[in-house]
Amino acid sequence: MHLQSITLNKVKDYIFFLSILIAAISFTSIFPHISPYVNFLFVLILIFSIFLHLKNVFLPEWVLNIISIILIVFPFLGLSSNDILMPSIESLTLILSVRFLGKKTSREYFQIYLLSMLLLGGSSLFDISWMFLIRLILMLILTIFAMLLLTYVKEVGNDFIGLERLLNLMNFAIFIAIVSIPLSAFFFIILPRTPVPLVDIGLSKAKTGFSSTVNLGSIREIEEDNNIVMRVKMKQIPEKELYWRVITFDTFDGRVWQKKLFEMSKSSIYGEKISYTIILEPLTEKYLPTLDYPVSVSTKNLIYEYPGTYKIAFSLEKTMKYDAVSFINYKLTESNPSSIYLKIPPNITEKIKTLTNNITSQASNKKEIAESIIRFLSNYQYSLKDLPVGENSIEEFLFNKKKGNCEYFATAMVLMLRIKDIPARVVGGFRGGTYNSFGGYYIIRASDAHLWVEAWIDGQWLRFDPSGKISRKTENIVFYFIDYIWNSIVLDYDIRSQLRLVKSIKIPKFEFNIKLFLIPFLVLVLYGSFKFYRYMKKTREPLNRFFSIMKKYGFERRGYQGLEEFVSMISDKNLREKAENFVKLYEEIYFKDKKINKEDYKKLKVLLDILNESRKS
Amino acid sequence: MIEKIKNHKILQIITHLRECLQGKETAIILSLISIFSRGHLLIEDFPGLGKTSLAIALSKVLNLSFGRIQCTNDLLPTDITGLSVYNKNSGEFEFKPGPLLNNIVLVDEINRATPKTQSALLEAMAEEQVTVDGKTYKLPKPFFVIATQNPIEIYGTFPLPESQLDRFMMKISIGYPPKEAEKEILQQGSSREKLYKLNAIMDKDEIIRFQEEIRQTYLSDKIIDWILDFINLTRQDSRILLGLSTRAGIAITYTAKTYARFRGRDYVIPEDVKEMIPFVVPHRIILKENFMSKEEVISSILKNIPTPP
Repeated sequence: MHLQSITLNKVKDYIFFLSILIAAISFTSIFPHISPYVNFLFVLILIFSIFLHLKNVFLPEWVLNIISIILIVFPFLGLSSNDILMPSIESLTLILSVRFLGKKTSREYFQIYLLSMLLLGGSSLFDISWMFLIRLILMLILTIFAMLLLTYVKEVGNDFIGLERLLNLMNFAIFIAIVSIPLSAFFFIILPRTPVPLVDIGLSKAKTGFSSTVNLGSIREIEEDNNIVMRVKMKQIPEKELYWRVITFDTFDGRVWQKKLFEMSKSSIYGEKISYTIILEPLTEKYLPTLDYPVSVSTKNLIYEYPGTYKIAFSLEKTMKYDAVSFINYKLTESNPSSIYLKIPPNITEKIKTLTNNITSQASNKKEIAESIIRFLSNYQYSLKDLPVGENSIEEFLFNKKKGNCEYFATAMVLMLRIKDIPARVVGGFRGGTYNSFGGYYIIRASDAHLWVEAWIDGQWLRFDPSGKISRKTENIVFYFIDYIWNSIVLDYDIRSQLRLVKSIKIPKFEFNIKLFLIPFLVLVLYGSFKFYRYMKKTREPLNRFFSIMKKYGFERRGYQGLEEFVSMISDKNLREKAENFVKLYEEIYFKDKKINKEDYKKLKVLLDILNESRKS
Repeated sequence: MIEKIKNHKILQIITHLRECLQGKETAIILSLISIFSRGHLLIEDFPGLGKTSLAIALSKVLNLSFGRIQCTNDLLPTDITGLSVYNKNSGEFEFKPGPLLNNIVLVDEINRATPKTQSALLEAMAEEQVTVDGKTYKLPKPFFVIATQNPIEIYGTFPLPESQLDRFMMKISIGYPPKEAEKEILQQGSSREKLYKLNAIMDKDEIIRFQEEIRQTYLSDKIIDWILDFINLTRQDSRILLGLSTRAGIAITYTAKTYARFRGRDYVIPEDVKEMIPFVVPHRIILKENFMSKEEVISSILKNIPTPP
């Protein structure tokens, strides 16, 4: 019996901790982005409020209001006026926590839920990943559950709530949340969206990025990272021109590529001019990616680095935005490239040299040499797993493993070109990108990271991509799939990307397809059985409530007792009459085998309320 | 019981009868239930508690004809059914109806009659007709028998077997009147005169109509199932030798329906059934041993069945 009913205070505790949980969920979405002081304060106030709640002490309303006003003003002091969003979100966070300190009626709880939702919404300004969806669903379910509980408590007043009913409310909350998701999907399609996160602010944690040295095998980490590196607002250009230049390397010691050459060398360029705007996440250290081959970048503190790379004076800490101009289909001429581009590391074995000569024996000029190397390397496999390592990883790549990622291909090609006395260098950056025609921009992810080769042939620097044509195998991991769906449907929403998604599901990931059908089916089945359960429940529900009210009066019905028999035990005439009124109406419906309709339901409810009220007064 | 009666016609009858049958409300109500359920009533009680008064009063109030049979061991079947007598003038046998051919028949001390007469009576009760000299005479409608039996005097009696008792829809006892009522009786003396002057409140047609109406009372399957559970348990119970018959089940539903109507409802609730069971069931079951009373056994069975809803 004790398990069956939960006292009002317990329910209030439940609601309180549920609200803490809701606030915490929204807080987890925001806390990497806001200042640690605010985070600390938030957690502190929350812990304090739990303490207050357990002691049943509350701060008066006016104190809270003053604190709230201070908190609204405080984050705005000392910050430049152009960065309004961050302090707003910080004060929102703090106001949320302060709400927990006061006496909480349903009004305060609703404020808490609203603030939490706002905060979660605010977090989408910094970061939109599929985790947002998970948080949203969780919050929806919990918030609806809490609101149902609040309403229940308000309706029934000083009532006990059964464990069964509690679970029932929870089920209902999940049900509402699940039903509301297809609805929001509908709104998602019809409502306008912003193509990029609204404001380009945000302190992101340092992630795998480019540095001025590249260890063989290190790009792999970047390639497995699906974070968005940048968004490039520009018109769509042919796929083969999508090379995003970040850094160049000239010196290889057998294991590590480095950049040692910094002097400018005279060069001239012409081609098709493209201007664009890049919104860059802080992932590439000081380097600013540009479309290959850049001619100008306009931003403060800019440093140009030969050849064709740009960086800023300080390390990037938040998202930045800059305009740039590049040439595509360009001709880059240079008269005399540095001899550094011909250096071969001492540990390059004769084996590789012989191989190079064998490959290029048919070639009559430099261009054919490069092409024959590309042809040779195209027989190799692209892979991110089981990469060649060790002292002589290039030899391992060329002769044993015969598979690797772009680093190995590019390194091998550059070395081969240098063996054949052709100046060559490695260029690091990104290749490709997903074009969002709705927003008119490219999304470039860390996983698009790429290395390719530039070779000086006949006075021109030509771009060669030894691994570019080899298709990359994507790993079938659920995480990537969800992320892919999220990115394709939510972030890159347009009809073409959706079609692409459908196609991509069809061919390699067929097993997901079945599951995707299974989920709505399961939801449907659950919905159906839930409906049925509700219907069955509904006819008994007023009676159950009647019994629970009577129980509080101290009357418990035994199984063999008829309703009127049960009611006749009541000695208090007033109460008995009220109980009889309910029983008579209920019996008329039940024993005449009538279906309980809305009106009856209402009448029964009124009678129960009267019965319940007389207990309170 | 009287406070539960809501049907105003029935209430009128009861209040009317109460004036001359002090302290016998329950007996009045149960008799009325029996009449309107088209069943017969067996009153097991001591002499001098007003059985005859009850029967007379009922017949007056309902405007029905009344016949009385005082059973002795030399009573013959023809004494109750009537017999054909040769008419000298017409030269034909003429049927002289016996006391049975009345609407309400009081059969006093039925256990004193011989089995032969008893079965003639019970047959008439069941068939609602009598056959004399090969001719069948329909009994008047409504037809209602109130039989009485003395539980103490065993000597020189022929107790009715349970199979015969099954023919009676209800078995009640009137019991001693409460002190106040008894005092009133003593003050006023026997009121037999007053009884014969009682006004009729209903007539035959009304009674038959009301009987019809009662049969239309809604009886939910939920309650039928519950009654069936009860009947089955009486058949399976280890303490009971003879459980309830299907006729008993019918009697339960009919009386419950009537009681429901009396209480102003057109549907039956479990309490209607429960309150009728003590009057409908005990005389139909036989216990194996007499450690417990029949009433105790029945109520313990009822407590083992969950009552709907």
